[in-house]
Amino acid sequence: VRIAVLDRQTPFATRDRDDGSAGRLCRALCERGHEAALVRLPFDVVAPETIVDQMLAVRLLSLEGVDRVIALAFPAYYVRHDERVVWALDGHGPVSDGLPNTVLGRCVRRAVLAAERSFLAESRRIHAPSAAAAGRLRADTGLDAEVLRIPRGEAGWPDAAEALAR
Amino acid sequence: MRLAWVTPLASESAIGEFSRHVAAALAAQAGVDVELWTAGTGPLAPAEVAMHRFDDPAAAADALRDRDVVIHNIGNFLPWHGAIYDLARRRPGIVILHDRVLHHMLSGAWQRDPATFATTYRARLRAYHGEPGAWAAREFLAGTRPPPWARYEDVVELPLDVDALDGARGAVTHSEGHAERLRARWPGPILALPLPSYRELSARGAATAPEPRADGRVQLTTVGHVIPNKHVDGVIGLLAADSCLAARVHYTVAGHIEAPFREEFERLIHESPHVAVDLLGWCDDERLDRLMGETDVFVNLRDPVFESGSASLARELAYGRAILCFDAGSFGELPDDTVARVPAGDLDAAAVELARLVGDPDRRARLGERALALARGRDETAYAVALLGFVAEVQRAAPALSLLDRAAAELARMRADPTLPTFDAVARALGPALRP
Repeated sequence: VRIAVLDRQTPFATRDRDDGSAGRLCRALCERGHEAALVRLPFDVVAPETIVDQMLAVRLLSLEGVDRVIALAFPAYYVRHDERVVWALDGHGPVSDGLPNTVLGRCVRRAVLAAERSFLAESRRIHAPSAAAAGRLRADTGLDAEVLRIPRGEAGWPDAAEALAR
Repeated sequence: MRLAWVTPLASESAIGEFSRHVAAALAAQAGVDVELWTAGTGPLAPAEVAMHRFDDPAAAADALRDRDVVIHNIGNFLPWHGAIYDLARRRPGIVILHDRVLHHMLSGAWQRDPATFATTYRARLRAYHGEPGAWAAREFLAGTRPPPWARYEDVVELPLDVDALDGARGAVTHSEGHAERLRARWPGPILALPLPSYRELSARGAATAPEPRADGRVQLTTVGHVIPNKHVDGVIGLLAADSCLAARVHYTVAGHIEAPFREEFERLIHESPHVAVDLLGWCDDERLDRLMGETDVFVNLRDPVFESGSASLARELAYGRAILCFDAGSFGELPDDTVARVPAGDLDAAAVELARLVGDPDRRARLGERALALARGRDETAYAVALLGFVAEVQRAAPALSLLDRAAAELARMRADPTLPTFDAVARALGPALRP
């Protein structure tokens, strides 16, 4: 099975290294016999007026030749794919909570919440890293998420990978 | 090129007549394979090209998938255009908008599903006409306002014509003013093309001068389906008010007249015995042709204008007679010296101009000659050639328009506020690819 692990990346920020959760998950999937690739989609929150542009850009992407997508972060987890599983490690919270209380900021926040409700509902399955995150997702979108915690050590990654790939 | 032309073909339909002429002209162009598609089971007028009937728009959309171009003819009459509207949404193509106002047809189409009508009606009026549209829908649905489709001022302000272009790959209008209004509201390629004056008619118009009436009166004629915006009552009234003018003319109205208007006209005629008026009702082609050939002045006063172009005007031009019209819609776009034109809605000015025409046969003849010359340059072949040029433009713009439609659909799902800069960014990025 060819699996794309989708994360986001702000160029030159610390998260573009391979030792984060996305890299570990990718390695664990490969070790379990899957063909897995880490795909990072650029995302930058510096300018609030471009957030909806970036969400739209993700929606217009087409992932050909990929059997399954495991998406980990806002807005990469909006990507259109029939076999998309979301593990919402980096939700929209920090982004939308940081929006200014202006007309623009409120418009962007409303668009983000509508996108969460609409696009996450397309997922085959949603996982949240904690009960609190699952609760927030339910409050924001009405959608249920299974809790799948981030493994504390390397030993836990194969099981997490299997849970996401099933 | 395999081209499917979707249209009503009932013998009473002016759009059906237009379709038969243009389809034949398209089929005469090299490399164009044309077929007509029509809905329903009623009797159809004969056509020169292959014809298919459909009952199920979904099945028809499937059958039309492999055609190179599909052209949908949409007008404001649900029995003839409802199935075409449904098919156009399933199998996008070029939409020929025969009417500026589609409110009656669309509100009727949405009422086919009573469970969703209120939601759909409110949402579409808001989407296409903003807060005034939403307000009209809310008031009507709350029972505090008559149906918007029952009032001229409402349907002119809230025409809903953009809805028929949802998913379309290109649009054709029959007036520049209509095209200009749509360009501000819909991003795809739009062509303004005057309705054709059929060659067989203009050939006849050249050959025959009007025979003088036996009673020596000037023959005035109004042609077409009669509703109040054609001001037949106003013409009877202006003749009734000028007995000298009335004594010199005979006024004939040819076209179906809705019952309440007929009663009103008959009352007016009864009260004005010095005015010679015939209300013929709907006429077959032979009778209509004879009447138009005997006409000295066509009276075609349209205000407000609901159509994109006027089929009766295109027909009248071909007969090479003087035409009296208002300065509105496609009538206002004719060259100055081809018609006698007065300000829209000004019946006093129409009375003055009509008296001039009645008293000046040379002026009538000059206007008729110019009208005929214009008609000859606007025949069905010219229409077909221009349309095929537009098809090439539409095919070039199709990928960008498709991407724009996808972006719009995604933004709608995000409930993105139209004031967000994303909309400008998308328009800046894709706009150049959509322009010719």
